[in-house]
Amino acid sequence: MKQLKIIGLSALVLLISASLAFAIGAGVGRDSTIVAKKGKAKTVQELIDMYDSTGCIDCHEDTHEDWAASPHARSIYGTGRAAATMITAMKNGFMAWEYSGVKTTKDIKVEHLMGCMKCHLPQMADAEDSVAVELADDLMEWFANAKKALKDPDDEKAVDRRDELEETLTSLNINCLVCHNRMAITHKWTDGYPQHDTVYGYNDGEHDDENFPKMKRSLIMDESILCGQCHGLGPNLELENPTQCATAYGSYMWAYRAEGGQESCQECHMEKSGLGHKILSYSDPAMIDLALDFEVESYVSQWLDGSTLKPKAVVKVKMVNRAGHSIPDG
Amino acid sequence: MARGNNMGRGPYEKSSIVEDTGLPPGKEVEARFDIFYPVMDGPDGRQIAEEREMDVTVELWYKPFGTMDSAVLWREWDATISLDKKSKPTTYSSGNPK
Repeated sequence: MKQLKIIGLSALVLLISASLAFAIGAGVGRDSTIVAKKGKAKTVQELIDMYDSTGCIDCHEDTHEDWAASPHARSIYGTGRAAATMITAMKNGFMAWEYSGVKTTKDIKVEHLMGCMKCHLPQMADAEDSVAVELADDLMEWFANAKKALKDPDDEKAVDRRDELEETLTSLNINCLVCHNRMAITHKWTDGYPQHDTVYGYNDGEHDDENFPKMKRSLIMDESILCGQCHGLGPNLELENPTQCATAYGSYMWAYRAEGGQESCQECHMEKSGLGHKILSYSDPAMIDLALDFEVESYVSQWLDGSTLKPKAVVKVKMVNRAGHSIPDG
Repeated sequence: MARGNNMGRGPYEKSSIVEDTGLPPGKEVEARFDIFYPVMDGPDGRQIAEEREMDVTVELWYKPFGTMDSAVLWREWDATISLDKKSKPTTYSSGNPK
């Protein structure tokens, strides 16, 4: 009987160990990431707070201003068009698909949103399904009020609610902590997991921030793979229902580096362009100058066939894409 | 969904590409345009060019959404292309009114 009790106790201990392992996941140090320390977000506000980077502004004001002007600062809202496209992706996508399990926004889970959020908000993976429902409802409500406000700009209730939700949606973004912590280490079994008290950049040492007192070198901070985690390879085949959005890193690897190209994303989009953390692309004059050689040649010829004359101008446009990926791409 | 030869614009509508009309990195791409001058019947019944000059503008636009909505003008080239320049007059009288 005593032996049975010991076996029973051992089994219980094993079960508890197993369930803890599943909760934390494999890998040493995974239990000290931001999400492991704080626990998964249960509300949109908790997700915003989990990666709140406002503490960085005091010391990195210029960098913050650059970032605030970047698309990363409004990664799910964009100009409003990105947010509207996400609604289309929900309505025409998994809400319309027979086997997705989604009929209304209440059925939406984090995994449904990851087709968009894998890149537009990678920290969405650190949230519970209740956040997916809340975010989907926020998007729908923002759109409904934006339409009302557009139709009747004097509709104060609609204008106020639209603005309120726009603020929420723009608070969910790719900020300092997303790149300099959460996404700063790709090879976690080799280099360790990003730790909750550390910011990752070019140096090791102390960091003057009570929440992030440590600074460590990220081996990918100046490598294209950092950006490639989102500006991706093409189809996201790991999803239950694959999507395809960004293909820039795939194009970079197979059409640029494979042909001898040597520069990184950061070298063109941050350094040579002088853009820093604005990290702009097709709309920025410096990037437009860097992107392309453009040459036009023209001449005339006349083709006379009996009494039929065909004079024509021939215009030849020669272009060489000097970017490290196909144009257009993203 | 690219499980055939259809591919949509939305990310949820595709999982591959069926063709790429973008500019590949490092490769020269040439686009040629043949633009015909208008012609008319001359006094001898043969055709002559109605206009001797043509103003041509080439614009390269980046269209993030495939339309002119939010499109950005990247390059522009314009020139007046004359039948009397850069080409010798044709030896056939019908081709040259003067």
